[in-house]
Amino acid sequence: MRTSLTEIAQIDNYLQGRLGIAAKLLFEARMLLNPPLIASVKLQKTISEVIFLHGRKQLRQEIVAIDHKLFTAANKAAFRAEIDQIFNQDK
Amino acid sequence: MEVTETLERKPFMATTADDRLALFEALYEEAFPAAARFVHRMGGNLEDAQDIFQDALVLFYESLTSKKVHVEISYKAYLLGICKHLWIRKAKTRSNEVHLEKWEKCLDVPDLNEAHPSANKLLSLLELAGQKCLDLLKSFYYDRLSIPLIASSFGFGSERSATVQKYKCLEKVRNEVKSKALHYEDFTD
Repeated sequence: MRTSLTEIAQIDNYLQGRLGIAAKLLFEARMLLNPPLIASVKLQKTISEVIFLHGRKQLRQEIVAIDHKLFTAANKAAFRAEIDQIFNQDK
Repeated sequence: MEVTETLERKPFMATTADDRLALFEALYEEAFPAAARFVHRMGGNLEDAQDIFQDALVLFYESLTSKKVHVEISYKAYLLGICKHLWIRKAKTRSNEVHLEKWEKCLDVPDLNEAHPSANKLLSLLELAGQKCLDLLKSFYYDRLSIPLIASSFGFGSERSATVQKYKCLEKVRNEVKSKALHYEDFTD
């Protein structure tokens, strides 16, 4: 692998907790001596967090689509009747 | 997918998007009425029940894919437990009561409203790296699929190819950030 990819791989392994104790300590020592590496670690961490939020947003949209299907599809009338009965029982 | 089986306790496998949708639809149909009855008893309306249940499904998925939680009960019971917790959190926000804090600490449920600052700015850069990269990174960081599964579903010849492509996608994003002379601080304002 190219040097830049090797660094990305090492950062990813560090962030995902895949390094052993010795390798983790060595990596953290390298960070102390290398401020650009710290910046790269922070950026890569942010990228993975934003990907996570993007995934969460997509999943929420999938769930809303399921809700829409259950509350509109002709073959889900029994489900809707059960829910209507719960919220309209006091009326 | 055999619906009755998926609602029972078994190792969670988020295999394909279609499998996940089938499982979620089955869970919605099976568990939502019980969640709705609970929310109604607690004074909530249908919209409250839908909000709570949909957030609970997200947390359900994330907790099982993270492998930090081992579910000893049925998926339905676990999901309803999350719903009850979320309702309590919502009630706490509404009434500002402090005695529920202890409850919260015991359960360690992540806050769905905790958005990353400047997430949209970085997401637009991720999109520049291409949809395939975005989907691939999502499979690693959100769906947490196994490398063999990612390799086969994305059509890579080997697991190593899938891993190297992941690093290349991360490199693309890093280069986009650098080409625009952005720094980490630009995403954390």
